[in-house]
Amino acid sequence: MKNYNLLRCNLTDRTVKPEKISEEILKLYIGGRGLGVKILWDEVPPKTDALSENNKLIFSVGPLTATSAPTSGRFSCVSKSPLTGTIFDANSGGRFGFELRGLDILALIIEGKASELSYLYLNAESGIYELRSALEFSKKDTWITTDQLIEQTDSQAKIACIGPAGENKVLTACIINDKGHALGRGGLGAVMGSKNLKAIAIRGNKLEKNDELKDVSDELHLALRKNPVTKSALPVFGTPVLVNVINELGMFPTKNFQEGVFDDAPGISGEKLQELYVVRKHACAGCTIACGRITKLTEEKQGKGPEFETIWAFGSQIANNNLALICELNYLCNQVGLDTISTGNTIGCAMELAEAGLLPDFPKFGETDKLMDIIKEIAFKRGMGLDLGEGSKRFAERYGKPELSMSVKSLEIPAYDPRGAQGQGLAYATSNRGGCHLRAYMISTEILGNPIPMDRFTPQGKAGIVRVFEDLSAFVDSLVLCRFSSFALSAIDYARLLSVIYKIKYTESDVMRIGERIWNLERLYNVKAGFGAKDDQLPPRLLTEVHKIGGSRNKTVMLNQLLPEYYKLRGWNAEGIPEPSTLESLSL
Amino acid sequence: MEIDYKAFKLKVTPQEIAQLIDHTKLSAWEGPGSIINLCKEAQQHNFFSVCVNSSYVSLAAQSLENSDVKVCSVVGFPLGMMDSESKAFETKKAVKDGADEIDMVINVGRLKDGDTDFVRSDIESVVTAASNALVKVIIETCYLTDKEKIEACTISKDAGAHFVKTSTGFGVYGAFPYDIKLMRKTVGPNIGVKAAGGIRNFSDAARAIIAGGNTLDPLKFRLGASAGINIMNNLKWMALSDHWIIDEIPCHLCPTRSATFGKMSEAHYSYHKEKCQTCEFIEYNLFYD
Repeated sequence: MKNYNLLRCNLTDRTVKPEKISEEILKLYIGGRGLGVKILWDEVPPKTDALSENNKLIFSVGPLTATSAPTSGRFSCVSKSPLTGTIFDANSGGRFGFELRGLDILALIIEGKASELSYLYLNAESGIYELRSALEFSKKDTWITTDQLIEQTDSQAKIACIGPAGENKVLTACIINDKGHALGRGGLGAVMGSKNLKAIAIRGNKLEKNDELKDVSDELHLALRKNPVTKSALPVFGTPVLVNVINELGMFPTKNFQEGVFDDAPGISGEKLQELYVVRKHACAGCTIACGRITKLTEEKQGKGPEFETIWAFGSQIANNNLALICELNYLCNQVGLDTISTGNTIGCAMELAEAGLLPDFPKFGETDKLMDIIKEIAFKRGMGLDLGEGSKRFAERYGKPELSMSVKSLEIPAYDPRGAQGQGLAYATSNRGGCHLRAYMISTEILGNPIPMDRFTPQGKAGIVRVFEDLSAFVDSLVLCRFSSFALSAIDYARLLSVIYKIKYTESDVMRIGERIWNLERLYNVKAGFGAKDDQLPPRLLTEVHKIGGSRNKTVMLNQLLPEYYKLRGWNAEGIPEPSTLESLSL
Repeated sequence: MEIDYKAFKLKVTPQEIAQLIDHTKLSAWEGPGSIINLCKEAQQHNFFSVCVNSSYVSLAAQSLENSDVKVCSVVGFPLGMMDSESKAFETKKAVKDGADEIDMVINVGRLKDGDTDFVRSDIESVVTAASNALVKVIIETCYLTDKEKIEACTISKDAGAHFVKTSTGFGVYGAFPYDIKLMRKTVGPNIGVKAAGGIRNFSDAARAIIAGGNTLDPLKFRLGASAGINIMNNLKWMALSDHWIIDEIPCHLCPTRSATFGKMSEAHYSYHKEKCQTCEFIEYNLFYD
């Protein structure tokens, strides 16, 4: 097994030092999310204030990053989230991950707090590893920051940075890399802001080719080219292809999840986006799927996205049928550094409060004139933006209607109404980072029929499959490969890739075991931070209110039935705490 | 006829399931390159056979020259409405070109009109022309009543066919467990049953296997599928959990739910709807499922 290193950057004393990662850690946690979770567990106590200098940001890649393995261009970031209070991992595409791996490391630990706004410059080619002043970038948006930093450092450098939202420690702030890719959720941008770290600029070395890996990779690339989702749906329309599909099934949350069908969905669909605004496809480094889209409204207004989730958040969630405005709001969020899902979801919550007469001056559903200003207010913590930037949970509580927050563990739920997919409901409830569709993307089996179709309305079997998806996702995130690869690849395929690169025989059981270990370690962290069964819940609306029309009418999520079975399968007690025997079996 | 809609367990190895699959490409747009690719896939996964249109038999036979994968040709496909001599001629030519198996389509209209002698003679002419090749008779269940399905199976057995097969894949719907079970019950354990049409994943395949008498012998049961590779890939996921197979609503396993007005005769559509109305599982037949 090759030796792998990490870099530790202490912002307080302005040092950047290499450290060796033990073989044992790599075998048990692989890299990416797993490695980040293990480091956070070891170094950041669970009750740490997420915005204090004691919190850390662990940027990481996997052993397959920047190799010929399919979708190998991503990177991960683990920290404690200021929005949720849980352990939090996010990952992002673009080209930043390639450069990070080019430093010949698997992880970059950011700790402490800089005395002034700074950026970290790491250049393997010229041997520069230093913290520099970023005062001149203060409150500048992510696009300008990126362009100017490339000019100042290296034309080939890749940048991950925060916008004004992150600097202002807005709880829904994200980290933007490559001007349009995001470590989107959980307020990791605020953590970076709390450390006075504006950006990371990286220029890595090119890695040597691994011919042995290439043979397996070629075979798996072929599998991606044969799978209908990765061969056709995503490359042709990108993720917005889901707008019409999800709407037809009555699962497209509308007006803060009060309805499941948006009558104007065809006007904001992937097909319409393609027709009106897409100028070309976009692929992350190392990816053959190319699900990304570059859109253009005018010469001045163009950029990456919007993705399906963003179309929903600034579309049906707030009853907006103006696709050009959705694109514009997406560009703006990327510029100021805000998570589009949490931002749109929270605005929808505020609109419902406005309709109930509790926020008389705030726009109601469908009133879109002030949306651009509202986003800016959130990013700069002005006016109503001050409250909205804390996310829907705190916002709804402040206005006396906590039940109107469509969130789990304070993280806003995305664009799939789980009343139309029982397994997705359980996945939201049990996600270690809160209301997220990516810890276990049950839509794949319940809606897309991939890999094996399951009846979306039945709770039967779902606990078991949520567990499989959670564990496998934890593993894939530790390789750090794109989740979309799982449409075509399964555990045995990932095991083959890892076996070649680590020169240790991994089986599909090993893969699932490693994923399960990471999942349980995250859970343990959350338990020690005060989370338990009481937090594995869904907003009451999803448990008690039904849609009157559409393909998911008369349904609620049967969480009471799903959760006990899930805990049992996980080897957790009724409080959602892992049993000692479970931990022992996972070497935890 | 009872419907097994409850979840089940089926112990099957990848090798066993691969040997039940006739890897199929029959669409009008398939060119020679596509057939060569089909043969490569069949060898790679060790499928029992490739199933192609008769014009591609020699190409498939040539592609599979040094392998155990057999060549199956459809005959009188997909409507079965050509005369018996033509079917016999096509059969002879296919066998000469290298076909090991023949999947022929019956004359559905004659059967529905009660002309069982014609149907029997039609099948016999293909069985005779096939010589030593194995013959499967496609009865196209989507156009038949239960009584007619039983009749078609009985005639096929009497006429010397080795298999009865549910569907062409070009009709209104394909193989449903309900029909597979009925066909197995009719022909008994010694004649083969082939489920074809709509077998898209392991779950479909497994339910078909169980309905077909739970045999893993390729001479007694077969799956006709263009989704063979997907079925094999599914097995990788099946290995991770027992929870994939869940109760299915009975209507998803019964053909009447898929009856479509305008794509079948009015009388046949009415037959299905009437069956639905008197079904013990009517409560499951909700529009939005």
